[in-house]
Amino acid sequence: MCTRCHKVLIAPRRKAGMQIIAVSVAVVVLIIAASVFPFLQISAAGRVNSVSIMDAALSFTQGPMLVLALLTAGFIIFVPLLRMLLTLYVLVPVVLDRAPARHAIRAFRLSEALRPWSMAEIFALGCAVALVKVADLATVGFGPAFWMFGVLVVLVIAQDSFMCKWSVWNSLEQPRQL
Amino acid sequence: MAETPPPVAIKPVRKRGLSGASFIWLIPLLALGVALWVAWQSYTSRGPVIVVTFQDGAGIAAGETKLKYRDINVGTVEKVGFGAGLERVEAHIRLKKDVAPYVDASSVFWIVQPEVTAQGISGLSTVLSGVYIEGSWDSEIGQWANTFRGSDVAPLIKPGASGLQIAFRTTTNGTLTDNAPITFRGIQVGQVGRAQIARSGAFAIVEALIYEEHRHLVNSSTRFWDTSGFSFSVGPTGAEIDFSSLATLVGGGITFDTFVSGGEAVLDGEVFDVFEDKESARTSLFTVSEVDPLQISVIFDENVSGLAVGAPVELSGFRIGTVDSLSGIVDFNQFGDSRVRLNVILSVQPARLGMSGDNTADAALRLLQDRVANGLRARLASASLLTGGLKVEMVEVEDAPPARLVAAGQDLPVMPTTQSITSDAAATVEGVFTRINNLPIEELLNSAINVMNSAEGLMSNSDLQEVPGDVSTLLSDISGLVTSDDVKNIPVALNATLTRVEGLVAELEQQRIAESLGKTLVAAAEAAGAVTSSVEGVPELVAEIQTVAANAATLEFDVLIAELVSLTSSAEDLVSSPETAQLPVALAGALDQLNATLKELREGGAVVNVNQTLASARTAADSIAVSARDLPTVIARLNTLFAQAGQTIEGFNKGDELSRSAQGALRDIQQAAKALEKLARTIERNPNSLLLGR
Amino acid sequence: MVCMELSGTASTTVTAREAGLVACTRCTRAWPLGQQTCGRCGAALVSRDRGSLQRVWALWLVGLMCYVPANTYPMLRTQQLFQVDESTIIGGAVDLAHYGAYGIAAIILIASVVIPLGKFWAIAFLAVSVRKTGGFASHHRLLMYEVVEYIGRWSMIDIFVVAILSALVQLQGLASITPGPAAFFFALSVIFTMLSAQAFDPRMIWDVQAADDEAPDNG
Repeated sequence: MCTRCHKVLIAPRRKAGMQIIAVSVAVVVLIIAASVFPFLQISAAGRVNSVSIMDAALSFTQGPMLVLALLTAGFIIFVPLLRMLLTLYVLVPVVLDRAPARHAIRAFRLSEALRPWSMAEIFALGCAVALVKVADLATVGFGPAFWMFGVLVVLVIAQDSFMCKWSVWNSLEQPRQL
Repeated sequence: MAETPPPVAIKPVRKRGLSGASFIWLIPLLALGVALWVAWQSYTSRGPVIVVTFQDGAGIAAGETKLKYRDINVGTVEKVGFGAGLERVEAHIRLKKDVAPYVDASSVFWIVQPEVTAQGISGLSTVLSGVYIEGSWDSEIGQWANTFRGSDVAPLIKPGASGLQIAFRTTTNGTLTDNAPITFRGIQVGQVGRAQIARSGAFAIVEALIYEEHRHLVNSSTRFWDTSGFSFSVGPTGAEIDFSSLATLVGGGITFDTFVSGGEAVLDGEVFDVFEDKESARTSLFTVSEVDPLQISVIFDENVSGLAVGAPVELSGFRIGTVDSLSGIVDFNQFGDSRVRLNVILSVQPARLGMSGDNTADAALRLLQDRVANGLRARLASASLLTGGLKVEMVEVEDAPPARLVAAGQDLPVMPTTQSITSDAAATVEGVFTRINNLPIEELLNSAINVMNSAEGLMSNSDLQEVPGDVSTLLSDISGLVTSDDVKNIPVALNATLTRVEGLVAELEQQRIAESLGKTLVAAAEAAGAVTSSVEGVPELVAEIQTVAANAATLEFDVLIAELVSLTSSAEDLVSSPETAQLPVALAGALDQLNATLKELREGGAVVNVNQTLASARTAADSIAVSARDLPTVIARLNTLFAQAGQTIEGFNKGDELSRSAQGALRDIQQAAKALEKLARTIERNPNSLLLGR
Repeated sequence: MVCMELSGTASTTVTAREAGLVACTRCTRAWPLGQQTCGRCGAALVSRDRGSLQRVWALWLVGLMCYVPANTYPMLRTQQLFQVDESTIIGGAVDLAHYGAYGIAAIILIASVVIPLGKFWAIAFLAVSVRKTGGFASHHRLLMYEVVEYIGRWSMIDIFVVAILSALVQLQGLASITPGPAAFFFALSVIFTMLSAQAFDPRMIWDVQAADDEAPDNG
């Protein structure tokens, strides 16, 4: 246990690292699945509309708003996905006691830099707010993507709190020690 | 050489309970499993895709337009495109899995969109929600089919629905509109479908459906007729306009009735004729067969115009045939001169002759021959006074020169004729006009004008006009007084009434009678204003009143007035103390009615009214005499008296013909209103029916 | 998070600079003062970034400029049965409060008004306080910085609410919600504020305190 930031160290590397890797894999799968399946469904007076997360992100599509659509899609889907993939890219060789992958350092640096820009959990809270607002007026149904996204958010937060960056940097730098 | 910071002490971590690496892998595996399961679920729960082609797209949108069956979504249109060669529009519809097996080769599809037809407007709800495709199939699983040809309109008979399917045939004057209802006794029991011209072009044929629960109403002796539009007739009862309901007025309808019993059950596909009205439908029953008529030729000597093809041929007043054709005939040999005679060929229906035994033309011929030998002759007669049409009549003529109905080979048998009786309508009408002309109308008019003038003079007398108003004001005042529950205000109201009475009296002072009457009323007012609570003097008063009433019939007017004056003066004597909360109301009423009565007398009204009034006043006084505590009932009775008087005047006009016919008209309007109400109720029940009554 | 204290020692803290070290902001590895790039993560090693204040102010200004149209333009365009309704951020929150949804109105107001304005003020305060001395204790200032950096991203919640509502409520004819131009400006404002907060070098807070300590008569 690292005395500095009191986070669980990646040692014994295999077990703790495996945890993080497992969680990351789950998050990747869930993100991909959640962005494809229907997320929410609203029905009022016989009219039905079903949206997926991509539809929500791409709802800004007029003129300069297209930029915002891309930004939103990025914040919700692509940045978390990229972060997870990068984490996997970095951790897998480390955990398996092999040399770190090429550009692992840059990858990890990118992953950390993107941390404040991963807004999946903010999106989840925004959905809650929006649902409360709309549920009065119409019937709202939850698609499978909704539950997947909820689990996903929990896992992302868990993964962030599990990982001790210092240890990762350390192991990246001195792969054969420890 | 980089200085490394002192190594960080690393404490060994306490091993936590269940943090086996193998366990953590459950999470991603679970996530993967869930994702795959959901994907697989949504894939396998999709139903098959069918292709339905339509003539035009009519607003079908890919991904949005739904397929409905009995108003439930059972599919969605996935793709819309054109068929080969841009011939038809193809809609690829993905069905729901549970419904897919039932969609078999016998399914019918059509697009529901707003439509305006003679029956109404339908599909209005699709304006808001978008058009949808409706499908109809039965509940059996039949042969699977992939592509369907959508129809342009909703089918009349939905597969799976049962009913009696028949066809109608109309002739030249028929007016059948699509989707017209078939009604029976006012209830819709079926529906007509689309009309098509028959291949031969001679008539229109249209399929119809009688709903299952009513199919027993139709058998082989049922006749159908058209009830669309309205019928207007002028007859001895007056002008009459008749229509079944507003729906049939506009959109047409067919109704039927089984006039005779003994019809057999009817199978699907039976063809019925649609007649123009009920009468022709009924008579068609007695037309056993239109074939095989007996044709007879008649030659008339006179040249009378007015006989037309199709004119009736009558025997003993009963129509037995029609005139088939007319022509002129010139035969020097036969007739002895070269005049053109009228050759009429009749066609007689043997069935109409009512023979027992067989109804053939030969039998009819034999019958007629027999009758001709006994004096039956044919003649022309007037069929209609107004139009001058003629008909051919066969009558038994006494002392007719002997003749025979000869059937000579190929020629038609010739019937002997007799003198025709044709009335010259024109001459008759002219005679009527002459008679009217000779009436002393102007004198009548003059005297009528004089009468009206004097009546007007009388009525325009200002006094006369004011009197009824004042009387009614008085009466309404009294009733207002009586119904007020604050008894203490009575003297106040009384005073107002009395002042009005005084005013009235002031007007009447012009007349001799009014003068004395005025005195009477003043006295009555004073008396009313100071009635004592004691009932001692009342019997006296009552007795006086009774005396007056008893003598009313025989007394002369002046004496009557004198008696009344004495009556009121005695009433005045009676009153000594200023007690006001007791009798004045009813008494004033009685006295005022006396006032009104006297005015009527001045106008020449009947003494009978006086009697009645005094009698009522007597009864009022009697009840006063009975008990001073019965005042409320007394007052109530007086109220009813006044009301009755009013009613009597009203009732005078009852029994007037005008109001009777007005009521008849009201009834007819009511019927129309009922039909409207029915329509409104249908609309309420199903807003779709606002547009098409479905 | 940058941990500056060496474990085990207490009382007097030795700053990295004094110890002749510079820490990498990314991977927290300490290096000698002269080194330019971090050997571990390759980031540029800058002991104190003087230009950072300029960046902070520039980004802060852009964020502030974007915040104005974000509030004046409509955020949501609601179309209900041929009746078009446009509402700004604050207007929408007020409408919600009218309808009785106080909770949601509070969330939106906090996330879209209180937090951004708070951030503007906090960053400006921090940027100014680095020059001047006194006033807030450094710990508090650091805390303020951490809070600003953490909470900054939560202002995006309003954008996501708009995104979800616009995507979801698309019932032709009945009701449909489309985002207004304010969403774009608001997102820009939040992004620039986040960048501004990130550009701020929190180590300068301690420098001021150190300066305070060195010149006690000024404090």
